[in-house]
Amino acid sequence: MSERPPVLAIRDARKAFGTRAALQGVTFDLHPGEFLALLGPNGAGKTTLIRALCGRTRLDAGDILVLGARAGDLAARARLGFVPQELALYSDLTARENLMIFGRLQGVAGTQLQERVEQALEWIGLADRATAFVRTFSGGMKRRLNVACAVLHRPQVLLLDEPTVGVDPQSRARIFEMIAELRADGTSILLTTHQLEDAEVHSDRILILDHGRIIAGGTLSELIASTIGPSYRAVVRLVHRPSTVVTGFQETADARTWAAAVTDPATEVPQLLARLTAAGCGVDDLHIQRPSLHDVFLHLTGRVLRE
Amino acid sequence: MIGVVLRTSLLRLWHNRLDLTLAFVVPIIFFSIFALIFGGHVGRNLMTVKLAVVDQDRTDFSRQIVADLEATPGLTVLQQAGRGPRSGPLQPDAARLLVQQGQAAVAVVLPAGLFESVTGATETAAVVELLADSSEPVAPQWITGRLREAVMVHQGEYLASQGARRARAAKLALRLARGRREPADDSDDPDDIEEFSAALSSGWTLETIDVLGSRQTNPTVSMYAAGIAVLFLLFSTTNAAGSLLDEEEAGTLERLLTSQLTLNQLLAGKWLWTWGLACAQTTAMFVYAWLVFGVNFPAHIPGFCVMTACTTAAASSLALCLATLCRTRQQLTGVSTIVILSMSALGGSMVPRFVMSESLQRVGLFTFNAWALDGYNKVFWRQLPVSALGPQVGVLLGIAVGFFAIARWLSRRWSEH
Repeated sequence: MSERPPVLAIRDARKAFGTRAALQGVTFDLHPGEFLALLGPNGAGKTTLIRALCGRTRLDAGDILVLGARAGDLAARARLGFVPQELALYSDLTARENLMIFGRLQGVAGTQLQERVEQALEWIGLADRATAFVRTFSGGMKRRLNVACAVLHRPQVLLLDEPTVGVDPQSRARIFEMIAELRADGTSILLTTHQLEDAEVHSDRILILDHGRIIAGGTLSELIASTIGPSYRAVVRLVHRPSTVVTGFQETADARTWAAAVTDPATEVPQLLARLTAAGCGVDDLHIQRPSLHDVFLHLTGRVLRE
Repeated sequence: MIGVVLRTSLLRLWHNRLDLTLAFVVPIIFFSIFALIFGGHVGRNLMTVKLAVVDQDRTDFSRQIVADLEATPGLTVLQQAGRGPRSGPLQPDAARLLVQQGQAAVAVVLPAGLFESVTGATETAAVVELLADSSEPVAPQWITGRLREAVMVHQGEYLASQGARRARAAKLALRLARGRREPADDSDDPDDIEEFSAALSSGWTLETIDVLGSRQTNPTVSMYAAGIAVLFLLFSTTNAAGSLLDEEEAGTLERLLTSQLTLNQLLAGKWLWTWGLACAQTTAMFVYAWLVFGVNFPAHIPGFCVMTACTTAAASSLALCLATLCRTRQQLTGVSTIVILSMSALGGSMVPRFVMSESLQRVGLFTFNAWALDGYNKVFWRQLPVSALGPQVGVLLGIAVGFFAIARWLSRRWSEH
């Protein structure tokens, strides 16, 4: 993607907790200005990897470099911003006080800190609530503040761990606008999320982590092509449950809902509908679905529940 | 429906083993501590007090009294001043100093001419001085009784040795002195008893001198202010140090440790905050005691500053240690309640250590409170100079450094792993 050296370089990262291997040789790069989404089911190793990137988990083997500095070193921390999944804010302090504290802890001081705090309050739409206690904020306001606290030192790399959990669509949209603005300023983004739509819409590249390994990676198109293929999915809901299966269709979990893979919907769907009519099956509803990240994710990681 | 509420409470208590344990263990621990303090150990072990004796009479009579005192179980008699070749008989000023410094609970000065007075050789009554520390009210009373008994017994023995005419009187005197422990004798004449009782009471008097409290504007308050201050100091520092656990639970700890802040800096910052807060609280309490109860705070500011700095340093480190030992705020509340109340009970914050048995007093030295209270008492009660606080300062600073080191070791779970 870029000729410049990666801002994050993860090489053969391995970590085990007792007999449980959390990371089993993870290797990837985050390039300058890139938006990379890291997906994986629960227990896949995402949290361990994020903690290792922040220098909070020591690898058993492998290396992680943040702009050339070892993860965890002060030099690496200075270039890294981290938005934790939890709302890591002092709820008994005001929005401005939280920003001042976390900015100061990241090495910003004096008038520069004050300027950036005021800018951040405007940026997250909380300038009029600057002196209100965080405990009085809505979930969306807290989430926006959570992001702002991580970027006051203008990090070159921003790690976002589920930044939009539990927020309404408006706040979610605003948070991604904020991320887009950071990216426009040159910040490289690594996002972990279970919101596959967010990854699909906003990221340049997607990595899927499972059982401590990167099992797939690339753009959405590349992932689709390399896994489920580029076929569309025609899904019909029948008026009655038919007695026989019509050629080209497959039953789904619901006996009245059938699905068929189609490459060219414009020509193939009418043919499928004609077959159904000929078989005496009335169609109640029809959907043409593009192959999605959701399909890729389930294809790669299966449907078995993870704990 | 009430049954559901009861069942829910029972299930929650059952699943929370710490609460379950605390509900039964804490009362048992405190019952045990107070049973050890008051359960029959007081009377038996009060005899283990140190008594300084100045014998200015230097007669066989006075030596017999001293020998009686020395033979009293649990009573340690100090007669020598200094050690080695420079040692010599205690003088009144040195004995007074021993009491002021708390190295002796009581001092007795047997004046020159005591023997002559009690035997009627002179008409002037000798004055036996009992130099006492009124912060310890029990020991002087007990030694007063023991001293009177010894004088009267030997006075009676002397009278008996003076011939048959006085033998009967001596017998009565001995019976009086020994608290009428012998069976009554029908031949006893009540008039004789009164006569010889009067004879035994004459010839000498006992004067009790409070060598410490008499100089205090409000002696009792100045002593107990320290006890209460140290007890609540431990609670407040533990509460302040517990913010570490709050930060862990809220997620801010993780965020702090991914910033430019190191774990050492975080712990040092928390310690300094706890220490500063504790200093302010202790100062506020003593200033209040000065303004409202007349404790002479302004006269002891240097000693107060030294003791408060060291005491709060030790308390802060202990609190930080407890906070890093526990995993949750709930655990910290439970553990700190046991630790603080146990230490305060054994260390003298709740009950003065002088009413405890000698063994319990020794156990008390393993508590933070005992050293802190000894130091504050030296400043406010005994009015000793700052230079006399060496042992307390040394131990408290040692506790501060030791517990901080343990806290740092226990905090490894928050470092990179």
